[in-house]
Order: sequence, then C-alpha cells, then structure tokens
Amino acid sequence: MADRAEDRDGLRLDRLHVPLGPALLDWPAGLVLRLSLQGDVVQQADVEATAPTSPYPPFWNEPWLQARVGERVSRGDAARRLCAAHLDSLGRFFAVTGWADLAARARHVRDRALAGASTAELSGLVRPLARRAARSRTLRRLTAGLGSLPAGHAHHLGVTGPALAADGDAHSRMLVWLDAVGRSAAACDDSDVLDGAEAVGPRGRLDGPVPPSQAMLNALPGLLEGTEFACARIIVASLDPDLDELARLPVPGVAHG
Amino acid sequence: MAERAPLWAIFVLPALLLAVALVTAGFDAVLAAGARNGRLGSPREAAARATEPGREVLRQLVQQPRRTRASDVPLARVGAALLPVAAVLAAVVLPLGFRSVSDLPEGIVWFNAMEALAWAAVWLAGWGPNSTLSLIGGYRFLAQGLAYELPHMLAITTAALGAESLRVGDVVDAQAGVWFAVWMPAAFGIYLLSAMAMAFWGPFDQPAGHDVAGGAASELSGADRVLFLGGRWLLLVVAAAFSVPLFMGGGHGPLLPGWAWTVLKTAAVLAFLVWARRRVPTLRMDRYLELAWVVLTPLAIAQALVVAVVVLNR
Repeated sequence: MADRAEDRDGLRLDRLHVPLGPALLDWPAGLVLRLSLQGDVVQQADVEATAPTSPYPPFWNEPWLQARVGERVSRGDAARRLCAAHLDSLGRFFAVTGWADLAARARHVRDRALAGASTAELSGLVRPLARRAARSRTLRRLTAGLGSLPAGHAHHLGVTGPALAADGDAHSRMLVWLDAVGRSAAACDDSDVLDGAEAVGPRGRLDGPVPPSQAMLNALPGLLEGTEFACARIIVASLDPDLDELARLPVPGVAHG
Repeated sequence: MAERAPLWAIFVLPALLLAVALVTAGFDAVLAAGARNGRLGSPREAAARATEPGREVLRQLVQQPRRTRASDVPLARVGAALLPVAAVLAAVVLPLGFRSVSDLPEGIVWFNAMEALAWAAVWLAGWGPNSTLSLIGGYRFLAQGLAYELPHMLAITTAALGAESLRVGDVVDAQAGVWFAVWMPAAFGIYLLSAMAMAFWGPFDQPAGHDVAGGAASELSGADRVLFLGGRWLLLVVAAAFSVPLFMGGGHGPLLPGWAWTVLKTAAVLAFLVWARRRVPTLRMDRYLELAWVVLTPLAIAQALVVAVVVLNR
C-alpha cells in the first residue's frame, strides 16, 4: 500500500495510495478518486467515474430534459426541483464540513420541497438556513480559498452552472447555491410553461458537448492536488458532481446491437 | 480544604459519570432529531429519542464485531479501553460539592496528566486497525493536541496561580468570594474551548470526523466501540465538570448544598457545550493551529501575568 516519493519540499516521504469512494458518507455516488497521499496531503488524484446504466433520466435534471423533448413542464416544478437539488448538495457540503446540525436542516427542507410544500412554507424554512450559513464566519474561514476555480478557467474546462457563476472557491460556490435556493423556493408556484430551449439543470447546461458533471470531474484533479485530506473532501462536496448525468441511456428508437 | 469522600465513593464515581454522560448524550440526541425533523416534537417523542444513546450501546454490544485485515487488535483494544479509564481517573480529583474521592496535593497536575492519556488512546485506536481513515483520525488528534494543549495548560495553571495551590480543594476555597471566571475570563474561555478539544467533540471533532467516516473510531465495533465513544462522552463530562471547581466557584453558592451547586453548574456548562456544538462547523486543525499559537497562547500568557501580578500584590 505504501511506497516513497518526493514530496513538495523535496523530501522523500511515505506515500499512501488511497481510493475514495465509490461508497463513502456524503460522497457523490459512484465516484472513485484514486489519491496518492503523503501524510494527509494529496499529491495526485485520478478520477474514475462509474456511469450507472439506468433506464431513467437523471433525477435532478428531469424537468429540463422533459421540456426539451416537448413535454409540458411548469416553471414552478423546475424551480422546485432546482431548489431541492441545491439543498441536497448543501446538505452534503455542510455534512463534510462537520456541521451536522445545518446538514440535517438542509435535508429536512429538501424533503419538504420534494414533498410539495407551498412557496410560503419553503421560503420560511430556507431563509433562516441561508442566513446562518452565509453569516457564519467560521464556515467562511474554513472553506474560503479551497478549490479556487476562476470563471476563465472554468469556462475553458467547459464547467457551467453554479460553479462557473461562483467564479471562485468552495465558499463562493456555496453562496451561489444558497442564493439559487432562495430564489427558486420563491418561484415554486409559477405555473408558466418551462421553455424547452433553455436547458440549464442544477449543475449546468444540459445541451453542451458533455454533461455538466463530466466537466466538473475533469476539473477535479487540478483542484485537489496539493490540498489536505479534509480540504479535498470539501472541494469535492462544493462541486458535487452528479454521476447519474453520465448514465448511458438507452436511446429510444435505436436498436441495440 | 475539601474533605475526603467515604470509600464507597470510588465505586459510585464511575456510575455517576456514566449517568451524566447518558443524560447529556440523550439531550444531544433530542437536539439532533429536532434538526432532522424541523421541530423538537412532543415531550413523549423527545423522551423516546433521549433513550437513543442507551439503545445504541445495547445494539453495539450484541452486534457481531468486525475486524479489518492485518489489524493490531491489542493496540486498538488498549486505545479504546484507555479513554474511559483516563476519564474516570481524571475525575478522581473532581470535588462534588466539597468532597472528592482523592484531593491530591497536586490534583491539577493529575487531571492534566490523565487527560493527556487521551492522546495515546486516540492514536492507538486510530493506528491499530490498519485502515487509512482511522489512521488519519489518529494523527488528526495529535495535530489537535498540539493546538489545544498549550493554551489549555496555561489556562488551568492560571487557576492554580490564583489560588496559590495545585490542590483542587484550595482552588475551590479561593473562590468563596468571587468566581475565577469573573476575573480570569480569558482563561475560562480557553478552558471551555479546550474542554471540547480534549474530548474531540464539538467543533473539534475532526479526529472522529464525519468526512473520514468516524476517523479514529471508524473501524471499531462492538464493545471496543462502546468503550471508545462512551469514553469520549465521559471525557467531555469530566472536562466540563472540572471547569466548575476551577473557574465557577465549585460548590459555593447560596441556599442549596454544595453538591447541588456542583451538579447545577456542571449541567449548565454541559448544556452550553452541547448547544454550542450545533452552532458551528468542525474546525480544521490547520486553521485552528494558527489561532491557537498566534492568539490563544499569548492571550493565556497575558492572563496568567495579570493573575500573577494580582496575587503578588495581595
């Protein structure tokens, strides 16, 4: 399991090869990161993504994908799904930063959103949550500067969605989520029809050359190298790729063979 | 000076600590369920949840223990068992009211030495199972120890300095008028922080962190796990309870007997620690080390200096 290699300071140190995932608490399901650790500093990270084979479209992208193929989906339903998706990501993020209390609250609100709670109830639940997370100076201190992904570089890698909008570190990505959760919670009752042309799911543009989560996975090794173990977990959680997006869907009308 | 408790107190002490730890864990479980369900629920639901830690202990005890490959079983066992032992030994000098099992002349040093056993305990428990995540938990605790121990020792030394004695009974007597917490607020604050760090609990739970699947405890199962995690609660209770004789006047107080004041004050400190845990995320030690060395250590030294000057001019 261990060998030795030069570390950043030119010392020869033991190196541990540690796989993270595919099943780990608060970890994107199916993701495997093969880490080379020295002490608890990540020297190298290789991403292995196991795409599930599923007859269903990725759950979090469902409304936008349905709208794209011409089904009638209301904007409110899409907003509700977006709200729940980000709350799900936030729950994982808070859990990884060790804030079990806020993680439990975020998951409770997520479940309420999916259970069809009214706009008023959702907004009432989201507001104190967002305030606590955004105002926490401890959380800012712990997550600021981790996994910095400037917009230019993100664009180059093909990353879209919150990670591109955040134009910064793990903390700014969390703030983008909080902001989007607040706005989408207020829009859950919108009954207008969702425009099929604007296919932007919770993690980014769905009509790009690769799924948004694939772009995030491509960005991961660069962000992880040289970080401490705990920071690496926070960086992964702050991007929260959804491996369902990589699923090989059976294409309707095409014979397999 | 504190009286000596009767001999049977030696047997009552662990049971008492255990009871307090179970109540505290129950309180924590109720709060956790409140966060999960969005509301605290009726008193009946809360009572059911409060028994969760007790049921969890029973479940662990009857569960088939699992073992990792090439694990060093004795090492992990010693680590797990050392934690509750350290907690109970540290509690020996803890006065309930004005009586402790043994009011050693150097009780404060004894307390500090016993809690330092936790360093070995967590490291052994993390190292033993031959697993990466538990190993990371183990060395995280050593890093944590480096961060909290120095300000912590300075803080408890300040209390000893104020009483001009290392005997816990003398420290309590010196607070018959004014609590040390009033004129040593910095030392008191630092002590409370390190009380949580000592039990690697609250914002200092990184060694047993969620992100490393429970860290040092991740591979422990069955009785080992009960000993280790139970020992951690005991350590928290002892560390919180020790703040009462050190800074909060021990058994001194109007109307009620001494032991009742000790219990009340301990309960208040514990409730505060349990509540505070829910307000903040886990501190990463690489960031906390900076705070500990640059802010807390100088602050603790300055506090000790102030106390020393006051004592010299008395």
